[in-house]
Amino acid sequence: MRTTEAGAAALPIVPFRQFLLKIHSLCNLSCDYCYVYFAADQSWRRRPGVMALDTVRQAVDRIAEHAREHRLPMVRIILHGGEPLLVGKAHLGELLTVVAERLAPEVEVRCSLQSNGTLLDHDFLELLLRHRVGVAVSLDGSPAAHDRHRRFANGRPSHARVAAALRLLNSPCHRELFVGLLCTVDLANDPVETYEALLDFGAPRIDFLLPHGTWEHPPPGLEHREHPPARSPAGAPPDEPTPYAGWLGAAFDRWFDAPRKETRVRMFEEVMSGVLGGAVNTEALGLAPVDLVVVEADGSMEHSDSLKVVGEGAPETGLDIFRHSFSEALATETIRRRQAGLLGLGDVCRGCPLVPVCGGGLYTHRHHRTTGFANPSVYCHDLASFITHVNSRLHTALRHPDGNSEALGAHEHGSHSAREQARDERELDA
Amino acid sequence: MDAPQNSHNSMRLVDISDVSSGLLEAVAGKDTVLGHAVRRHLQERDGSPKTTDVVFDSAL
Repeated sequence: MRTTEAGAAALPIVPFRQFLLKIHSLCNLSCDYCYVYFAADQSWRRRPGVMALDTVRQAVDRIAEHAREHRLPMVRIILHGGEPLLVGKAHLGELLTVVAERLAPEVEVRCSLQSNGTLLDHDFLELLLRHRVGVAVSLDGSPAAHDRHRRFANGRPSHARVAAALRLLNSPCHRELFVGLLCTVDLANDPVETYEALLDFGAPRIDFLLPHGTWEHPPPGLEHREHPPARSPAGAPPDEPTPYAGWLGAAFDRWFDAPRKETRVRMFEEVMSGVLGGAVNTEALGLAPVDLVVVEADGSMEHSDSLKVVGEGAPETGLDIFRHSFSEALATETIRRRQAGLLGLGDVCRGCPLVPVCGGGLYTHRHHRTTGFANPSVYCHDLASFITHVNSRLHTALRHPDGNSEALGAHEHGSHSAREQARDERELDA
Repeated sequence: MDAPQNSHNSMRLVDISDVSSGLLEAVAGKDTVLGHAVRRHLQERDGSPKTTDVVFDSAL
């Protein structure tokens, strides 16, 4: 990887290594929290449904150009949507052949697909197996938890079809493709039951996503948060509710206290790594430079599409793969700021002792209409409280590494467990 | 939660250098969440290449 200096700002430029291709703009589900269709940005309405093969070829050639220019040994391609499997088997096969023929000779390619799982059948899996495309599926937990939000446009629930697909994906002949499960947190769901429902599918990795929101449009349960804090969370009022910290803490305790590691949980692993002083390798946390660019179905280059919740056009770069190289996208103000680490954050975050772990939170979640992105995340207090919890658990566990889980666990101080606290908060909300 | 809420005003992140190397290696040898975390930490500290890239929020 080549790292160069960026002009006047003299900040390092990190090449893109992850290319998210929106191969289909539409979805067969109508999840009520979806940032693509129900957020401020409505650009999906004017895009082609399917990424044409000419656009795929151009995108792949641009990726190869970028890999040569920056001497990249490997790139990741993420097939995304909408629902990427809506392109159909024939088009997906042609698309993957383009990648194999035009890009694989130039650079190692690791390809994965993020699906809602409802269309995933044996033939799709055979095709993905031939091209060695990993599959990650969105699942929000138990049938009741999942179907509260993830429904077809006609209101029909989707969990049963996703569960059937996951059983197929987890069968011996396809298991190697199974990347993991993505779960969007809903405070109405029990965190331990949610974790265990995901665990039932044998996922090698799980991740929990916080619902998207900004200071202007806070996420569910945080509607009272309207103004970014003027001081780091150390100065928070003691009664500041942190329901997401409680939820995540309960799931963390269940995962952490298992006698053997049951699966990987990306958010938790990264927070633990950060607390121990190591790298934090996720877009939502830490100070690592962003290295991902989105290519929409029409060839537009965009920033992370969670920015769709900020406003119409917020993810746009004004660039496209037909007229511009990916290196030109590296020069945009958004990417420069998102590769600047601590310098890319506002004053409050820069002065916070937790910033190496939270990194200010997901870029999108920092937005306020008057101060832009130079704020702590709308989840700031929750992130701080959760990181503090993980820190406490690690500190205790390293002092008593041979202790049993009860001795090391949340009950050590005779206080409410994280799960009990999360339950209390759900009941209060009800 | 076991940690008091809003206690991070005096918070220090875990200083793993306070833990003996023998103890760390013993913990790292276990197939537990803590064992994996410590193993990763030791590998990264020893300069092993990163095992993951920065992962996009809405994909795995």
